[in-house]
Amino acid sequence: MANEDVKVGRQAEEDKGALGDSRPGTIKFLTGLGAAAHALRMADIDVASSYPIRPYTGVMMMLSMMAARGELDLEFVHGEGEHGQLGIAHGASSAGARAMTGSSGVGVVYAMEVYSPISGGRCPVQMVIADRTLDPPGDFGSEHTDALSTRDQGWMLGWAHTPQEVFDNTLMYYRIGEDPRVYLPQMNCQDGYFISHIPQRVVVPTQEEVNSFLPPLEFPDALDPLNPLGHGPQIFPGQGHVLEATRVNAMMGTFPVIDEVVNDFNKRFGTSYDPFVEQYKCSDAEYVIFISGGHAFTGKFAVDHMREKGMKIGLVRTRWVRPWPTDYLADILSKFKAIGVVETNNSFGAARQCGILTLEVATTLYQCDNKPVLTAFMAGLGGEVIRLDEFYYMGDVLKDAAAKGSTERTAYWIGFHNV
Amino acid sequence: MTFDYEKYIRPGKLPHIWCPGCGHGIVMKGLIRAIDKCGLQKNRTAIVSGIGCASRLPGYVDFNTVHTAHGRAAAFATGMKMADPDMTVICTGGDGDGVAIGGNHFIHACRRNIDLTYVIMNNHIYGMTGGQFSPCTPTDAFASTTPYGNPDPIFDISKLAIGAGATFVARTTAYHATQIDKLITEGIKHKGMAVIEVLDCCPTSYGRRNKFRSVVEMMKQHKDIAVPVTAAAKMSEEQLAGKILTGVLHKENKPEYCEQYAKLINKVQNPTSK
Ligand SMILES: Cc1ncc(C[n+]2csc(CCOP(=O)(O)OP(=O)(O)O)c2C)c(N)n1
Ligand code: SF4
Repeated sequence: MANEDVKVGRQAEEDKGALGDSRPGTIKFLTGLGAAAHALRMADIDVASSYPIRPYTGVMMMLSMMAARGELDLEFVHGEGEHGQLGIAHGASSAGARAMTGSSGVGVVYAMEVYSPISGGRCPVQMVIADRTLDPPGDFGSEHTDALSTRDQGWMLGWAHTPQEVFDNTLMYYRIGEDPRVYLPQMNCQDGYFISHIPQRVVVPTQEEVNSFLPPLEFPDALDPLNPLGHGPQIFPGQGHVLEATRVNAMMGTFPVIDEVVNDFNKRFGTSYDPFVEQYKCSDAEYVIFISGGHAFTGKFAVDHMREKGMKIGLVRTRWVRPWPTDYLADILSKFKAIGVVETNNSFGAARQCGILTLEVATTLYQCDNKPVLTAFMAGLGGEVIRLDEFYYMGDVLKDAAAKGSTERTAYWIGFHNV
Repeated sequence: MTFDYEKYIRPGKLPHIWCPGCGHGIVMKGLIRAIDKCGLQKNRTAIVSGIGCASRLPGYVDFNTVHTAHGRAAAFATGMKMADPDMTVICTGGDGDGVAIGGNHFIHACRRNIDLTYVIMNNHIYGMTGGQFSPCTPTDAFASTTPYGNPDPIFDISKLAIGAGATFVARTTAYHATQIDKLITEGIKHKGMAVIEVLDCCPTSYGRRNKFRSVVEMMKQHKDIAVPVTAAAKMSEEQLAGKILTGVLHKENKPEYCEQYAKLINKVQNPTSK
């Protein structure tokens, strides 16, 4: 099965004309982590703060090698745990450095306290996440609950679905997060192993091209001994709502910036990213799989196959979870008869017993006149591969839902309900 | 008669995951012999670890065992011991687990002098995650994240434990296998926080990068630099340069935390009694 999946992945990419097939640049064979490391090198980051945990940790090993070989002028600092690690990144960013950090699984949530101070300080740190299941028990597989748990902390949050997209997102995220209209930290997520450890073709542009796309960071609130200012003051409750509103405005203000930056990226590098949401074979689709992250790769191939059998299915992949592209998604999703959300995460006891993304999709659809049938597919939990036959099962459920106007369940557990 | 280790090993759990030449297995055998010597009951003994290669130890032994979160062994064990002070609670884990991410819990367990026995396997590296440098990686040594040598100074775990208030602190190495069980036995019998630091070898993540051609060489280095505290008393500063002291480094009697806590409860609930 594993071999077949790899073949399927490459095949699917070729069918689609691969993201950036025609773009100029050097072609490298990189894993998701390798793609992140190369993009960070080209982004000329100033400080990396690390703490090891699989599967993301390879990015730190590569960066330390790049720094040692003199390819990158980098301060490489090792925290004594993720909490300290994020503190280091916060400090570096406050001092005006282009800072990066990263983690996986329990490491991501161990640092929880520090996320809000970083976004509240409007420090545009970038964090590379290679997803991993949370404990217990110890499990190395990919599940998105780690990064999704931070969704209320004021960070931008989005998933890539190929190493190429990881590379490109790294550059785009910095430019968006460091835009003076934004100044927000970003989580640049990729599925552990499926993306982080499987090499694929990545087109790497020249340094000059990257430099002209991503100017050096200018952070007016950086700590400066010649112009002292205080970060992180204690406030009265009455001042709180104003500050929170400012942070919400910053997040909502990312929409035009994302649109602008992604379009500029497409123009410069010959790519065709949709700024917010990728629609795959959706133009005449009646029902769709909604997804985020690496499993979209297999999902697209499954859609091709189901299409050959005459099913009117498509796939919608959100590139962002924060900010959640509500209006874009409302426009796109309200056209369909049925939507199945693939949940590679868990929210124990959530409404409708679904995962985190379905909650957001349901809220999005609430404003629409046409409300498609909505169900969740709890799949890939524990880092399991989502197999083609499982996508086919989802397709059958959705086809049935579109015909009947209802589903038997609000959430289908793949691996239980389909066997 | 040969010692029957299997009596204490969970059925079906071997072979273990440790690399050939890893010192963690030697420490596990030492711990089992110590538990046997102390005559501990399986159901009245708990072994608690964090995460790491060293922290896999509890999975193999047939006691109440808990594989907690990375760095949390001392905190978890403190809760356990407070809830059931008559239980023998032993912590096992690595240097990264114990004094990096778990350093805060470790020093506070020492400060409270709670009756735990903490066996810390110091292999100078984060073994499990691929050989990144830990707070116990010697200055200038190589790790996957210090390709030019480590610029950081180290924590001396035993000194840290003494400084933080542990009342029994001992050190040995994986080479000195027979001393491991002696020191752990003493630590278990000691009332209060007992820390046994075992200098351990990780050929895969540390040895390879630091020009040790074999585990034997790593072991030999431990043999060469180890000086028993008793012998050290008669040695000059020059003779002791580059050496490490082994044996019982510190022992004192101080009130133990659970007992102090029980006394406080008693005093508050019975204000008139003495
Ligand atoms: C919160 C958290 N961060 C990181 C990790 C990843 N991790 C697993 S084991 C380990 C290091 C173990 O090193 P050490 O304790 O020295 O033991 P060794 O493997 O060398 O025996 C790390 C960092 C984790 N499990 N949890
Ligand atoms: S990596 Fe090192 S610590 Fe882990 S089992 Fe192998 S030798 Fe032991």
